[in-house]
Amino acid sequence: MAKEPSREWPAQWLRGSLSLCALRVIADHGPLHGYAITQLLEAAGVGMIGGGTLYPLLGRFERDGLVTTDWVTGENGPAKKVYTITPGGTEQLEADAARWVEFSAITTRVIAGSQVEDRHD
Amino acid sequence: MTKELSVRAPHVDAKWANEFVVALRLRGASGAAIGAALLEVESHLAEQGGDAATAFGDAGEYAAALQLPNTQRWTTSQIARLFMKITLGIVAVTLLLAGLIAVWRGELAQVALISIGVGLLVSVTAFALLTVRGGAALRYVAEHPVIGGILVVTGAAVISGGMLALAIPAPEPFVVAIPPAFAIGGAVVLAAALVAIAIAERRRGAVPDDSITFPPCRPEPAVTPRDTGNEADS
Repeated sequence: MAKEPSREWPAQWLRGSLSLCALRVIADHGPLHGYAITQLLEAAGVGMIGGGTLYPLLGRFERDGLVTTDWVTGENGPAKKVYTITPGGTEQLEADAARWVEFSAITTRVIAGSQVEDRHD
Repeated sequence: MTKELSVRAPHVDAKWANEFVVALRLRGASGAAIGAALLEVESHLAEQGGDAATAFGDAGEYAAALQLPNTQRWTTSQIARLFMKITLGIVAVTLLLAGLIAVWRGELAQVALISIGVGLLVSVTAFALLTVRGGAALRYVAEHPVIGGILVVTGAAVISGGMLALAIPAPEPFVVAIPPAFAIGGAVVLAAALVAIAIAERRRGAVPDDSITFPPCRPEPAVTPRDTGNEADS
């Protein structure tokens, strides 16, 4: 995965999409621990997500049964809590992702509408 | 921060960790959940570096955001036992005071039943509010020090008033005159009963030991995680 330069996006934009982004990263690359998730999100261009934002979200995933967790220890490093997506999590992710693509296409069309029309003119 | 916490979470500054642990305790989180949450902060900071306040924000706000389950809700049976113990304590104190005053004055002990009733009502209400809703009350005091301080002083005044009510002279029909030895002996018996109840509750686990514990870990598998992108999971 090519690392894109770190960018800052408005917090309200991230609020709507972060849970899907995090769940997708866990689905595609898991099992992952929290810090690795922040690194992958940053590398994808989502931006640097603080622990104060990420871990409450991961806790909600766990409570909702979207992920399972396990504690592992590396050879030298500290204990890490790793997250793995569940079948239910995968199902919800695919359904929500499809809806998000549809939603974002609509919002993009609306937001960029005048520019698109200008190009057609 | 206790020694074990600083050993298990060396990258988390002690002040932040203390505030975090206290905030989670006040929210009723279990010792195991607190240990796991703190260890996850440690794990994150060990890799990222920096301080906890920068990465996680205010300790109290982060504790609230985690929404850990409140495992310290009281059952009806626990509340009933608490009320029984408070009642025993109030009656024991009343008997002891009346007995000691009677010995000093050389007369029969005047046990005012109405004063016991008033004392019970005020004390049970105040103690129940503080004990059952203690987490919320203490959290409010911690978050609003000025208003909280005024409320604490007012609460203390109410409790003191309840205790003083024990000494208010009662109408004659509500006063029982008994030999001082009976009053003091009764107080001793009730105090012994309270101690026996406390020991019995502890022995049968009614007062659980909920100290902070850390999750057991297994060795990290040789191949993890899948396709994380080496640049990201280093």
